[in-house]
This record gives sequence, structure tokens and C-alpha cells, in this order.
Amino acid sequence: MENGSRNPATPGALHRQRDPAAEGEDTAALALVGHLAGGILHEISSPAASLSSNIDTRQRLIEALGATLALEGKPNPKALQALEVLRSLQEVDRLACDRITALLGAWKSTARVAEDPLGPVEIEGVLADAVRLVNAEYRRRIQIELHTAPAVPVWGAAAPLGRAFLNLLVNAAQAIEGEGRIVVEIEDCGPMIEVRITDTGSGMTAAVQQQIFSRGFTTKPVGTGTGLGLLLTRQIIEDQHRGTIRFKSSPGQGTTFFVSLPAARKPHEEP
Amino acid sequence: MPDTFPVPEIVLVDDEEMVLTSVRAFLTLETEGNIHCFTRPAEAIRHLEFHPADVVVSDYLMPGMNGVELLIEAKRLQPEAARVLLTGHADKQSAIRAINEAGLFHYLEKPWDNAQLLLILNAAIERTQLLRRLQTMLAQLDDAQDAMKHVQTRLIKAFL
Repeated sequence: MENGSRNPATPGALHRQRDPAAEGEDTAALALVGHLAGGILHEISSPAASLSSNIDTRQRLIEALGATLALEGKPNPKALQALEVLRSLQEVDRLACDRITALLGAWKSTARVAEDPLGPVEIEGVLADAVRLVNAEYRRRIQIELHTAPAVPVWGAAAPLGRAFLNLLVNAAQAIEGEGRIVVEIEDCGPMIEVRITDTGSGMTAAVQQQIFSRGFTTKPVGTGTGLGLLLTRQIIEDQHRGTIRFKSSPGQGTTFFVSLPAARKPHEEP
Repeated sequence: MPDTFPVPEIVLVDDEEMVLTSVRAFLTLETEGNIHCFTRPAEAIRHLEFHPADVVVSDYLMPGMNGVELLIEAKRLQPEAARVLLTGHADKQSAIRAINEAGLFHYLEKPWDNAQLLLILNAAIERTQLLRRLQTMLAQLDDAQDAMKHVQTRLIKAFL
């Protein structure tokens, strides 16, 4: 198994240990991109909110116009036709705007840098936001299934958890060449809630498996991986949330990540 | 004592002209109120110094002065006017400060839902107008009580 090698001529580019200077540059570049993204997010939010409001106001006007036209004995056919066109455009605008708004919302809640104290977090919502963001990039070739049963909240902070799952989902998506599937499941295991992310990707060799949590280790092409994603993910899950992260992988068969997080159960809900 | 409430006075503050236009268009369609829009917080404050408002709706992030500071100033000028923060900048710290220090009537996030915005503004306006009516009636009650006392004193004097 070639472990998804896309460029066999330069095997050195895969499974490499990044040199520390390049890692520093990447971190600086990421910080800059993050900073710009925050500004752009804020800049898009206001116009999007305006559009959303205008679409609603226009809908009310269209309905009022329709009611006025209906009162006339013989409404002008051109006016009726124009109203129909307006209605259909309106429908498209509503869908377009809702899609933008949902994406902005997911981005906002995942990108929050403010340090929120730990508390009960609805894990389904966090996963739905992360899936939404990954779908924006990969939905044309990868189908993501989110199986959520009504789960007990976990004890955590939504934004870092969102980033951890986003990392795992992006890794899963990048492990898939061509078309494939990612399945996200949540299971209530008593004191812990387990999230499983399974991909139909290339899987990992034993050598890769040993190093995936090492700083600077990446199998991704130059310029794509920083070798920090899984390390940060583990810090969020294990250090910040007192959870665990494990995985099972075999080359050619895909990978499953198992993330366990403490359940935020009220005393009377204790199983 | 008037039986009807006066025309609502609504003050909107947002540094984005676009947002003001959208909210104004919607409110013009759905309310009878007068809508006063400002892109600069300082201008909104100048307006509030001279004109009674029923509700003040402000954005959070604006140049010169943020929405919480503006609403604190609005509270000082017109304590009975309801204050609403309409923000795209969901930050728990600023929300807590707004609620505690500016005595917020409602904290609303962008993108807002028009129907919800309308409900909130109507409730805010009703509250302010009832509060003002109550103040007027209490003043009238005081006057009436004074008048009664006056009559009482004259009655007592007449019998003595």
C-alpha cells in the first residue's frame, strides 16, 4: 500500500519531519490568515444580515402587492407575470442567503478565539457546524453522514471542540482520493460521550500511525500540512477537556478516530 | 389624559448605512413610528439630548464609541427609553457589560430575524410608553393629593 502517495517520484515529500524554521513560518502565516479571516468574517456579516432582512421585507411587499392585485377584477397580466418572476427570484435569494448565513454562523462559532470557560456544550451542534465548513470545500466529492442521536451535552468549550473536530474531518477528507464517505457518529457511553469519525480514505501504515501526534509530522504535500493539526487536536481533547483521542487504521481500508469527552450530566440523570 | 399613545420614536445607530437602510425599510413597512437613523454615535447622543425616544437600537462595533458606551449615555439622558444592542460581534464580555451597565432591554445578534426584531421593538415601545404614562399619572396623583390637602385645611379652618 502506497499510503495515498500522489507523487511517487519524491517520496521525501511524504511522511516528512518538518524543519523548525519552516514550522515557525507556517505558524506566522496561519496567524496572519486567521487574523484576516476574522476581519473578513465581520465584514461579510453585516451585508449578509442586511440582505437577509431585505429578503424578508421584500417578501412582505410581494405578498401585499399580490393581495392588492387579487382585489382588482381584471388584474393586468403583465403585473401578475412580474409578480410570479419576483416570487421565484425571491425563493432563490432566500436559499442563497440562508446558505451564506449558516456558513458564517458555523465559521463564527468555530473561529471564536475568546477563552470561554468550560460548560455544557451541545455536541451535535458543534459537529454540524464543523461538517458544514468541511462540506463547503469537499461536498462535490465526499459525502459526510452525521448520525446524531439526542445526546447528553459534553463538558467543554464549543469553539476549541469545533476546531478539533474540524481538524479531524479535514484530515479524513484529505485522506480520501477521489470520491468517498465520512461517517460521524455520537454514542452515549455513560460518563463519557464518544464521537467516531470514520473515513473511506487511504488509511495509515504502522510507521505513519506511530508518528501522527508528533510535532511537525505530516503526510500532506508541501504547503498543505503544518504538522500541527493533530497535535493541537489532542491538546484540545486531552489537556483542555480531560477526554481521550484514539484511532484505528489499516492501509487501504480507511481510518476511524474515537474521541471521548466527559458528559455534562445533571446528578439525577446519572445512569 | 390622552387615550392613545403618541407615535413611537425609534432611534437606530449603526456605522453601516446598509444595515440602517434595511432596518428602516422594514420598520417603515411594519410600524407607525418615526425612525431616526445615525451612523455616528455622537450624533445619536446629540439627538437624544433634545428628543424623547421610546427605544434606542445600537450596533456594538463602531468607530469612536462602542454600542455599550452609547447605550450607557442614552440611559443617563433618558432612563425610561428602552435600550437594545444589535450586534454581529457575539462576545460574552460585552454582552454581560451591556446587560449590567446599560440596563439592556434586549441583546440581539446579527443576522436578526425581522419578525423577532418587530416583537422586541413593540414590547420595548409599549414598556417605555406605559412607564411615561405612569410617571404622568403619579404626578397628577401628587397634584390631586396636594389639592385635597388644601381643601381639607380650608374645611378644618372653616369649622374651627
